[in-house]
Amino acid sequence: MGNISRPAAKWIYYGTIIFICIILQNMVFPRFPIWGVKGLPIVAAVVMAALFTDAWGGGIAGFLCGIICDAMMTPGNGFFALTLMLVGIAIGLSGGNYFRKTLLTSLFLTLITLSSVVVLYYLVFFGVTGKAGIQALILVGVPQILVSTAFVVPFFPFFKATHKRFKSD
Amino acid sequence: MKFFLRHKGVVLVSAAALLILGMAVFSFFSKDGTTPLSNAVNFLFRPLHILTDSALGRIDNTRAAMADYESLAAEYDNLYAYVAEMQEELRRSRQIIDENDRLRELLGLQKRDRKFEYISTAVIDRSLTDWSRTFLLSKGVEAGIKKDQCVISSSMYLVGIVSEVGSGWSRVTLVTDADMNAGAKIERTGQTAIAMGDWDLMRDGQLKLSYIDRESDVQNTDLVLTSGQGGIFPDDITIGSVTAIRDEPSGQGSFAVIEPKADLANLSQVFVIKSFVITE
Repeated sequence: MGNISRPAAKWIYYGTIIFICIILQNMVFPRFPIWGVKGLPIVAAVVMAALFTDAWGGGIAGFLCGIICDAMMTPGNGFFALTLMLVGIAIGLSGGNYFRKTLLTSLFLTLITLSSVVVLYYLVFFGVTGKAGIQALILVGVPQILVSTAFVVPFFPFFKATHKRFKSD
Repeated sequence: MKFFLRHKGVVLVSAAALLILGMAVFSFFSKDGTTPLSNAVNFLFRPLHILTDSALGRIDNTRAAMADYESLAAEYDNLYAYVAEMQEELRRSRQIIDENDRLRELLGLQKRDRKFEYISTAVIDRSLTDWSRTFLLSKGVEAGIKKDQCVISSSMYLVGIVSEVGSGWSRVTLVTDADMNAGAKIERTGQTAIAMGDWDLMRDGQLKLSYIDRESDVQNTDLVLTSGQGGIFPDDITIGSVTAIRDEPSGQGSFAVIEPKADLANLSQVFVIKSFVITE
């Protein structure tokens, strides 16, 4: 990596994976939805970034990814920036102490996170205002959670390999 | 945990939360419907949006053309017959217009005139979530686009309304979005109502015509136009046609289902109405 410090190099690796997720979520899936829904791979990427780093890494990754989601998705208004930052911090804080960095753990944490984010999103923007009934959550929310969780499988090896490579940090 | 707390983690999280809250409040009161941060992100990603939309659009079009060759050939034949029919109708319309002009002149009436000033812009991305229906456009504030301007297709069909404007980009909330509301009227009867987005219909690319009178004579295939009430949309812009009449879930009254005339799934170019003058 030449003159680049090891922590910076590690974040270049993580950043590249997150960037791919941003492209997929915001530019590819709107045109080619999977199982009839547009997945949220950014959430899966934030969960894994937090799991493999710490509260600071998870919080910052969540905050930045959330800002991008808010800017590109409507209605955003800070919802994703706040929730993904808190998710990143929570997983980063507990990751080292309570969870092993395995594929199963990543899948479990992503599923929990996505379920919370999607249900909260539905409640804040649709449920409370009465714009959509509970069937919205079942017809769109559930497939979206499942499709997005599946993104852990292809991206997990990259996070794991990067973590292994820069473990001394 | 101790490391995070020792290094002012709570203070920084609170600061970030305040920043997010500030941005949300700013966007609520902003006349462009956006924030500087959102503007910067969309501006930075604009070239990528254009690039990916162009590349993926080609793949999508090639795939669709290959898969639907037979249906396209049948559609071509139908359109060919339709054009011949329209040409005949146009000829008859010209005669009616001439007659109308002569009668106006005899009665000394002023001709109804509609002058629109358009901004032509490309669609560079479509709805990014399953919870809303929006388009991202390639032009923004520098082209004169403002929030709440009306967006139409090249066939003068209503596409939606500008909901956010930034530098080099703007976002359109489509007619089918659950947040959409527009004053409407039924062309055949002149009866006014509200064309509004509905989440259940949004998924099928439709919207509803609400607040129609109990005694109203709404029929399938009735054309629904903008009424011009409210001043945002010019009047007589085609929204769509009625495809069904259903009872409201509350049991009080009924609503009509509208199929938009604009081909929202395949639009690549739209027109923002910058200003309009209608002389009655």
